[in-house]
Amino acid sequence: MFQSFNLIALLFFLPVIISIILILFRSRLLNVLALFFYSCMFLIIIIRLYIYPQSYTSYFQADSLNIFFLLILGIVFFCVALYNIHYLLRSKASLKQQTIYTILFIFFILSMTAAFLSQHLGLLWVFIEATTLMSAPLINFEKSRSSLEATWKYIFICSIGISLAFVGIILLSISTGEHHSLFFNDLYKNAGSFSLFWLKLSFPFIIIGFGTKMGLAPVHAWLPDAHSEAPSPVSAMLSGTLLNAALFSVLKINKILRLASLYSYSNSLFFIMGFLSVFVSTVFILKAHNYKRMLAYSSIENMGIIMIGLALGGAGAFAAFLHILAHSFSKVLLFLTSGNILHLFKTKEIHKVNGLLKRDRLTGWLWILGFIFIAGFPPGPVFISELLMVKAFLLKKFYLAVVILIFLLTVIIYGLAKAVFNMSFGQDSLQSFSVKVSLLDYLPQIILIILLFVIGCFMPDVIYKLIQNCLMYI
Amino acid sequence: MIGFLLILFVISMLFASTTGRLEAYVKIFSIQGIIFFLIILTYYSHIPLLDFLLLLIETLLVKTVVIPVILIKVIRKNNIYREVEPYIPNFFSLVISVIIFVFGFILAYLAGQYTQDIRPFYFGISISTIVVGLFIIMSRKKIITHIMGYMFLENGIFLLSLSVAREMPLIVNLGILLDIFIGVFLLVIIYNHINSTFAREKINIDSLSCLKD
Amino acid sequence: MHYVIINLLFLLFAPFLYLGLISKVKAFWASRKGPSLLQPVFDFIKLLKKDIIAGEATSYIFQISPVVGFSAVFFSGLLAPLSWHQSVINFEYNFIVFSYILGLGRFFSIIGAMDTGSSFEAMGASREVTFASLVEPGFFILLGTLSIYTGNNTFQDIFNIFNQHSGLNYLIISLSSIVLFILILVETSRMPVDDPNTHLELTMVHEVMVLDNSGPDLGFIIYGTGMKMVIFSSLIANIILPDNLNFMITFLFFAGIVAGLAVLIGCIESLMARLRMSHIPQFIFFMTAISLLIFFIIKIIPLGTK
Repeated sequence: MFQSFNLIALLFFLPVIISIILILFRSRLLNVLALFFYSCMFLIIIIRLYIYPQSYTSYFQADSLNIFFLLILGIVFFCVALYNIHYLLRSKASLKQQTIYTILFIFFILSMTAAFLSQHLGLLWVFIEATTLMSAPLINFEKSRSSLEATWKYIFICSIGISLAFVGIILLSISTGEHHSLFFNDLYKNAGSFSLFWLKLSFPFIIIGFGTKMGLAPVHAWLPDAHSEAPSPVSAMLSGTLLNAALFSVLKINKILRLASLYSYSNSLFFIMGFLSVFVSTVFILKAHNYKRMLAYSSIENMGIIMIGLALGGAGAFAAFLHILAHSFSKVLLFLTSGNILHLFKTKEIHKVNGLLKRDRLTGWLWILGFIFIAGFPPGPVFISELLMVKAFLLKKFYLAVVILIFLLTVIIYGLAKAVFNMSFGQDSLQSFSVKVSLLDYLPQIILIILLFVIGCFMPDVIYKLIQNCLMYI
Repeated sequence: MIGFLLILFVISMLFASTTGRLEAYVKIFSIQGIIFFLIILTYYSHIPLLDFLLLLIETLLVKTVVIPVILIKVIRKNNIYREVEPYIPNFFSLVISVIIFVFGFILAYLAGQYTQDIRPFYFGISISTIVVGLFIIMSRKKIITHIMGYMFLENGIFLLSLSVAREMPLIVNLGILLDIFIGVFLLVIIYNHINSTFAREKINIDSLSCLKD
Repeated sequence: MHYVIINLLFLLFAPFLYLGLISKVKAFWASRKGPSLLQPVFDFIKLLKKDIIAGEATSYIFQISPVVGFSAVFFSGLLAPLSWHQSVINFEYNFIVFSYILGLGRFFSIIGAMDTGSSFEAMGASREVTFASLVEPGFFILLGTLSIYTGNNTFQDIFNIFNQHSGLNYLIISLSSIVLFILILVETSRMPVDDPNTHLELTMVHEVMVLDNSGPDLGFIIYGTGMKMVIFSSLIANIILPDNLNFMITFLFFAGIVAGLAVLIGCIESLMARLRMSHIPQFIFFMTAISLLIFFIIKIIPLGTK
């Protein structure tokens, strides 16, 4: 019975129904439970779609590339929804604001899902635009002056970026010549006959445009502000999944260029922006004084590494996809733990937080483990991906580049470690806030740690097959 | 006829890059709306009727009347009338915009030899307008001027989508969707929100810079 | 042959009427009756009868600069096309000579001003040089563009645009007229670039340069300014008029357009204030931008606008 049901349609209608229910019956408990219920259903539907791919009209289809990203989205959303229960229940915002928050969260997830599933370039662009609009009020949930400024920067810079991406799409459509369809299948089929001049002209616009949403330097200016001022569940979603959505768009369009034999052109662009991102984040992580901003810069660095891996191809591309997976999980882990720290210490400054282990042992260990997983130490998958990338560099004989990259990564590890260890060890600073910390504040992180550990140590076949399918798609 | 209108558009963009009065930006924007309206009128036979009507309404109503009225209300309510000290003085802004237009025209000349699918004159002007819009955003300080720069960027994108409109009306409609959405959302809601929050705290809203590294 | 004589007479006598017409229009806007149309003639004759008084700090430069200035303007007037698209002296690429002879004249008037040793005049001279240097590329680009477009290279032939009626031609004619009109305002120091009636230090540009001249020198400087106005107005008239009309009608239209431009300058003088000093370079560069625009129009529009 389940198979005859179109799961993708369900994926679209479920959020709408839930939102209507939330508007009609307003209660705090209902908000958080509805979000959690949606996340469970989401995960189940995505797993089902992985096993039996489906399509819904010709505009939406689950294929091997988007199922990878959708699975990441599903798991991350599940963990964030778990954390969100306690976060919303103890927040002091009014009921109306909480309801709006939940509904916008649901629609944010919906637009990201639709962006992943869409098979039409224009529709993809519309949904990425929609994610900007839906997530902006979420950033402003705390309604302070700095969060308002962060929201303004986010909306403004991302809107400019999306407009530039639109210019790129128009130029791409000029290059298609007589075939006017913007469906990805048609684009891939006819890519060999596209006019190269227009393709080359459109790609910088597209990569700058979507790179703005992705957090690539030099258009990353909104990212530290937005990710640090947003509430912790929202920061985790933004860092863990929205950057992936923009990356996904760039990947799909990059395939067109590859099919038109322009890979050296796009690879060099990826390379340059990747290195620039890693360099910029190195500089800023060293002087970070706000631990959430530090995590945001680490997101920029990881996106840079992913771009470099994609530019290298071969083992590098496998490493890039593994890195996408690892980065999403570990960044969400770190952001949720930072939410705990914020709740315990009520400050975002690094030097004001001391003795985390003494105050709350589990949060302290989660923080340190999160750092270990994202910095690339052995039990984590980031270690495998960075090793594979170095191997890809050496295979292509880019000796200078790999030395520079390793140096920058080392400096970043130093910066992160300094902050993390200063915060975790030491005496407890004499601020006695008695706060309630419940099991739900730890459970999502523990789930993510187990997942990361399993992937890093054992590399289950499922993950390996998933990534191989994605690589074949590109 | 279209040549005249496009040249008027270019001259209005040059004027926008050098003026310092905020109401002048808004008036230039509505003049550009009228220019678009006249350009679309001459394309009556090339676009399907529904798209044509939608485009007409959009340019005439939204660009010429609605958005300028909202903007002028915001300007007058906040009593800010001039962009007094931009990062780049007005004369050099003019020189740089002229250089941008020169490059845009050179690009259009090169492009016009590669393909027959576009109208090179539109293409050059639209790319130049997009870059000049970005430049206005980068070189000014006030938020309202940033919003105006974004509006000019949107106009440039609209012109670009017109330059391929003969074959792809869908793109033009997407562009319209973008315009109206961003126009409403960006301007009305967020700016008034910023205004009310900062007015309560009596702080200068003109350069938001408290989040820095 | 009679073309040449009529043009020469026009060049010699029209400046007075031009200046008189401008004063009349300004008086009209001020609800006055104003001086008569021939007043500049009487002023000129009055100035010729007076003595030259040279300051003690001046040298021979001060004495020859008005002469060189006026003869430069007169010679350029011989090169420029007046009525019937004919210029008195005609050879290939004479528009380059035209522009540089005018530049020579301006150079001498500037060093003559600086020769007086007064910092007041030097200030005016430096402002004048700034404006002139900004306007010159615009003028050259315009002439070069017209030369490329029509394929001719003498000054009188490049203005033969109106012969073919097409949208592009109308566009070029209107834009070129705007460029040349702003050129008049800058070269002859009229509003909104400079106020010829102000005598406040802070605001003078051209008037301050001729403050120390007297007698016939001053007379010829004013005459030279008027002649420059006539020359540039006739350039505009040449762009607008077609080539193939009747002899008398062409001359009448020509004189009419020149007079109309005098009226327009008078109106602008009465209705506009002078721009703020820091806005004048923008204004002038605007003109250069438009002439660049004309260049790109003739390159790109033939590729197709439909």
